[in-house]
Amino acid sequence: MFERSPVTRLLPVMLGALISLAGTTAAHADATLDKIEQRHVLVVGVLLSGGPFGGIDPATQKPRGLNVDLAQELGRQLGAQVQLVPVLPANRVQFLQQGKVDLLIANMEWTPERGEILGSVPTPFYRVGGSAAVLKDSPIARWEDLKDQPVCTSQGSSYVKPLTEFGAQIKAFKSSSESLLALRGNNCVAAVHDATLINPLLADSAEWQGYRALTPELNPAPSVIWTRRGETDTQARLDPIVQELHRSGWLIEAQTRNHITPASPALVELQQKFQASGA
Amino acid sequence: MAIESVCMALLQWSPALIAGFGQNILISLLAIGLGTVLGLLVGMLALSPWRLLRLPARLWVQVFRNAPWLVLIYFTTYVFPFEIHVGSAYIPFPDWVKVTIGLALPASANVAEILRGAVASIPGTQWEAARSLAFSRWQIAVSIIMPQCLKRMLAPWMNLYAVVTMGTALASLVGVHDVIDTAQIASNTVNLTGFTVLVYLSLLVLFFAYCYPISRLTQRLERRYAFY
Repeated sequence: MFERSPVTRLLPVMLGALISLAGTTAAHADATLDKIEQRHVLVVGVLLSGGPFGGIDPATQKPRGLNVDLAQELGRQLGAQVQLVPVLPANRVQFLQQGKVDLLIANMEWTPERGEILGSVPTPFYRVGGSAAVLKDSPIARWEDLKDQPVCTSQGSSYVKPLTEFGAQIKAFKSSSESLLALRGNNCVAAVHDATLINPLLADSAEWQGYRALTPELNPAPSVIWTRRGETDTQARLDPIVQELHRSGWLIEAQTRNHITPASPALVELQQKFQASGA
Repeated sequence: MAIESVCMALLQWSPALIAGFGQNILISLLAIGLGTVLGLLVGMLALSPWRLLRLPARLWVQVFRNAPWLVLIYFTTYVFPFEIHVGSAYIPFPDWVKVTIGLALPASANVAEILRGAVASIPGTQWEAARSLAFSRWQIAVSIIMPQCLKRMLAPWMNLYAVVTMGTALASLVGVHDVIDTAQIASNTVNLTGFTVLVYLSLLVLFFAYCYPISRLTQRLERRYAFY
């Protein structure tokens, strides 16, 4: 009767602790920026599926590509040591959410759906759209012609949604090479991947001479650096860095260095925009 | 000319592929090691005369022997944390270790079953004869039954090792940078259809070259101990 249960007695104390805790955290930066500044370590999830954006050097087995260069550059400017964690389209969001990585530079374009569950640095570092490889004599001339046709792509691709809206039957393979192999085996009428993969392939490779690319680009979307949701301090810290990389031409140079063709018109556009607005 | 460039690319990527295969072998060795220790322990518990020890051991064997390996690998990968916080230090818990545990669990259940089979294959009259000579149950197990069991277990155990080695191919699905992952990166980078086919063919050859001698040795051992 006279004794209160231990929990209720502690309630005011707990409440007070909670409030003061909320007060102290508000004064700090968000958790990721705090962690980067305390540990001097930046853990970046990169997609190393092969190709100019992210792959490994066959001789040294070190990661290389635009994703890797950008991660290293961010680390250099933040004064943090960069730890690269290879991610897959299937687990990248999970890795970010559970804190295994601080940032994602993983060929993940911005979409409203992804924007709801994750945060991102507002300035994109690239823009890429989809293209489809089809046989030269194929009747497919427009994206709408893919309705009810089997279409190969890779898992986690951001083109799955627009393709489904066209009514295509999606066959999602683990990576682009399997998908392209399936196209050559006539398992599908088209293989849809980033234009930066399809265009050079059809232009340069002798074995792809019987194929052509479908235009215009499907769903061109900005590639952004992803953070956990609500981490606005990290985003605010990184945004000027990305803008400066546009302004100084670092990103255009990185594109050339990694042999990404055709060169993205978006990079030139963004460079001009920031050169005009900046001093 | 096309064939030449494909072969050149394979030559260029072979050090990376071999390094990746080293990861597979490391996982397989640790998994069979851990699985054997655990499996012998569980197997002995399953032979215990006390129901309280026997039942959990049986449950362990049934659960892990009848679950798909890939599901167990997904389970260990996504259930365990990615780093462990000890004091002020953060000890990373890498994915390949989680895969090793994921493969060691079914391996342990299989080892326990191999042990059970081997013990059951020793005629029950040996237990009776030994008991009539006043050996204790523990003495019978350790000095009479086990030495005979070890020989009989060797062949199926090596068979299991070959299967575990092939099971390591699943590691790439949870993002471990193994030989399959390397092959995928290589084929995406080179982007020649011929190369993609050739690189998977060379994986086949790599796994075969490693597992075939094991299987031959197993056959020889089986012949040697077949009618003991």
